[in-house]
Amino acid sequence: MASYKAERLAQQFFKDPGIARRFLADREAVFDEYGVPEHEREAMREGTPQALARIQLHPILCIHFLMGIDPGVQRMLNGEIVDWLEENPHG
Amino acid sequence: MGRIVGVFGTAHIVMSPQGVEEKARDVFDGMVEVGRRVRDTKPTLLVVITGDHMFNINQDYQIPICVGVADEWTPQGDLNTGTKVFPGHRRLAEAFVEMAAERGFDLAKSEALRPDHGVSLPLRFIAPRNDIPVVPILLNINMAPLPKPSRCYALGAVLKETIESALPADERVAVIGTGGISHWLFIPRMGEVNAEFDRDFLRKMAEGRAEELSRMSAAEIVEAAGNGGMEIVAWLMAAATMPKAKGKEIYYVPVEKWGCGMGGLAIVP
Repeated sequence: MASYKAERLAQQFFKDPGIARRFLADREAVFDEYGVPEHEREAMREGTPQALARIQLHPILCIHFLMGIDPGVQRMLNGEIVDWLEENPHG
Repeated sequence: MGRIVGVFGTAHIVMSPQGVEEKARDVFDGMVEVGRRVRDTKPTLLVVITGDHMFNINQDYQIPICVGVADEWTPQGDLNTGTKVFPGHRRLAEAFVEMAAERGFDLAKSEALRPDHGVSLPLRFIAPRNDIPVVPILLNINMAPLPKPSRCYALGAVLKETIESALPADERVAVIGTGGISHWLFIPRMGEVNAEFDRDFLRKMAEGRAEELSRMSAAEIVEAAGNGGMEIVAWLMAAATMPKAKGKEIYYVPVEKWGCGMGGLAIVP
């Protein structure tokens, strides 16, 4: 599995939206702050499911991380269900 | 004594309908129907059992099972499910933790967990006005050692005992287990759906055979239904509150694009 340092960073991405913003602006500063080892930085810079699998980042934390850095993943997961339910609150 | 008025199971996530509009509609309709059937039981209290998605139970504190004991809950708001506060039910939650300790289960309690989509999405169609108290129970299906399905089922029996002994007679409790059926999340086979497993699971659940299903090992579930498929332990725990009761499949939609077998079930006496 990935190091706790990398996973501790990934698990902050949803809880603290500021992390994603700071990460996108200056990845190295955030890596330094969390002490992420170099080989894991490489995978997280790449930011693809394949790269994250290579370092064995926890599968659920892959989602947290990708939702923070990839608007496409956000769109896929933030489906239209909520709007739909608002329009049809009682079925 | 409190009365268990129904047991329900449902998927708790939906993704973009784009490209799978018809299947998404079937899922939406199924979820709404589960919601309608829960409301038909006129519950005064909901117990929602789900896997946590590492919003609350993460690598910092790797808690096996956590019961939310607070008087109110603010959802995490993930997956755009909103952050509208809903009431908790301290009396049942505390009594359950106490009873569990008596029966050999040491459960964590939380005043501060933020229910994620595993609780908040089903509530959108079960209790859209957020007016029914909820006891959230989070199962850690993401970290080793994975919960044994048979232990989850046994814990469901303790929940039944608690509801029937610690609540007044006018309390009507609906117990809801949430989670997808087969899905592989960021591991090999991601995107697969094992519809055969899913349909067999739903059929056996509807036949009142949850105890039999709980004899599967966690490893067998992961092999057949993926790491995400472990969410069925929430359904098994819920079903244990109404042992051997027969029910009805409400919906099943294998949505390959979402990489998940989506199902719903109602067991109402």
